Amino acid sequence: MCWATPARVVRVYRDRSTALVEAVDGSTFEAVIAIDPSEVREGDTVLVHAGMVISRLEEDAERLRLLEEMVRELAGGEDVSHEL
Amino acid sequence: MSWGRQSPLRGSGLVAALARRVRRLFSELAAREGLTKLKIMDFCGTHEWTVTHYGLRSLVPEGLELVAGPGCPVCVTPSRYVEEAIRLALDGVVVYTYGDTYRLPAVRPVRGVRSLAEARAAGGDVRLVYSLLEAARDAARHGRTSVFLGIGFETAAPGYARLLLGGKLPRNLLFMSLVKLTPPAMFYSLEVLREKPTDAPVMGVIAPGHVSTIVGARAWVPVAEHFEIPVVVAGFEPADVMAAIALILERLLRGERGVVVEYARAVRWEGSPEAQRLMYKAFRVVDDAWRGIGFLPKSGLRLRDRLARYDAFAELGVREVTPSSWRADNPPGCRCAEVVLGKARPTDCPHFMRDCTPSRPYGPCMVSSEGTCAIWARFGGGGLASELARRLGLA
Ligand code: SF4
Repeated sequence: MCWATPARVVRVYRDRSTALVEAVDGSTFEAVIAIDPSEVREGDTVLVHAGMVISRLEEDAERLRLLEEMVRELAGGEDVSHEL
Repeated sequence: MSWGRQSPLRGSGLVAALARRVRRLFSELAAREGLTKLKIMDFCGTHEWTVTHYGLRSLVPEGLELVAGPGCPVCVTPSRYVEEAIRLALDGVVVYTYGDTYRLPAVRPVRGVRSLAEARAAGGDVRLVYSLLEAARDAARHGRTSVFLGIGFETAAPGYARLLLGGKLPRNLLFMSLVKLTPPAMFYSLEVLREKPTDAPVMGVIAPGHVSTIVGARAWVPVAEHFEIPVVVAGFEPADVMAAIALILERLLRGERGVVVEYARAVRWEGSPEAQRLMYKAFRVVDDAWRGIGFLPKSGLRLRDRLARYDAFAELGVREVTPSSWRADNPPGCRCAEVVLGKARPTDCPHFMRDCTPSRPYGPCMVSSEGTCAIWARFGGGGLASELARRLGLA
């Protein structure tokens, strides 16, 4: 029940309470937007839980880089890039 | 066409590097504090899935125990509500439910029927759905009196609220709110573990990542302050969980507490204000019963009066559990309540894998894919971890 899977927003419907999303396996379905609809745009990656959009996933490169850096630092400064 | 790509956080090299880091930090901390053992609670069923599926327990030092918490809504839904749903199904109401609730065993059979699955076999109209939206569409087509079992945590509540407040449910579909709030359960389980320390203190918590997308990381500040432990909001890849463990150990070493967000790609400090607004507009907070545990103050949600016409409790005469009518509601010998609170492991239960298995669950923790017993039954060790453990010379 806390499962959430990433999906891509294909279309936000007119009343902005639902969106058509595409799961990683390519299937599409309509999901309820549980967060601020203005945050959900076509092409975004979102997290979907029980058919509801609960968050945007920040996939931008900068954020990912920061996260990897943090994780690398935690790993004791070892260069793990070859293993990633 | 699939658009997804392999997350960089799934790389086993990163997990291995983090595991080495965790071992170093742990020995430093253990030596300094004179500890041989400490516990970290992974609250959420999905974290427990990551921990067990990837075998992370075999990668952390022996003295560091990861204990699963109450983060499985199906496991903590009181048996009485399952019995009420069975009764409705047998009386001709169409019952919509998620797949895991469908197989949940009740303790007191209703006319000889023990689960919604059995109710369907007995002729009841029980329909499995993936979402409330799907149930709404289906119920609008047939027009018969129907009920949706609204199980879940804060992750589910705002989406339910959006549909209910937006008038998106047909008149014939009623909503049984069984939504539970996670912070009170986290408080309670940590309190219990502190009162009766079984063997080692819980010195950190891995907080639920998806609940936090809604409530925000700040929701865990009271936990960190009250118990004076670090709390890390983590994602669900193995590297996320390993990083969370390392972050907890680092903070303990530095004498720092507080809340850290590891899952920054999805979670904000304040969560989603819009989702919180929806949730509290549709629902009111009540003292609620947790299966096997009893009543926890301010731990559940029921519909507000403005949505009374959707309320299955009033409209269909569903009886509420009350503190005086609540009785321990796990089957004899089942230790699910202790498993949920981190006081026992599935393997401590005499039924585990004997007469309680994923295909024939005897207790509630064996049903959902997020139930600790079901997770242990499916993935008890092995996988990625054994390979890494070999590489690290631990096995
Ligand atoms: S193994 Fe089954 S009976 Fe034992 S605690 Fe888990 S759910 Fe209950």
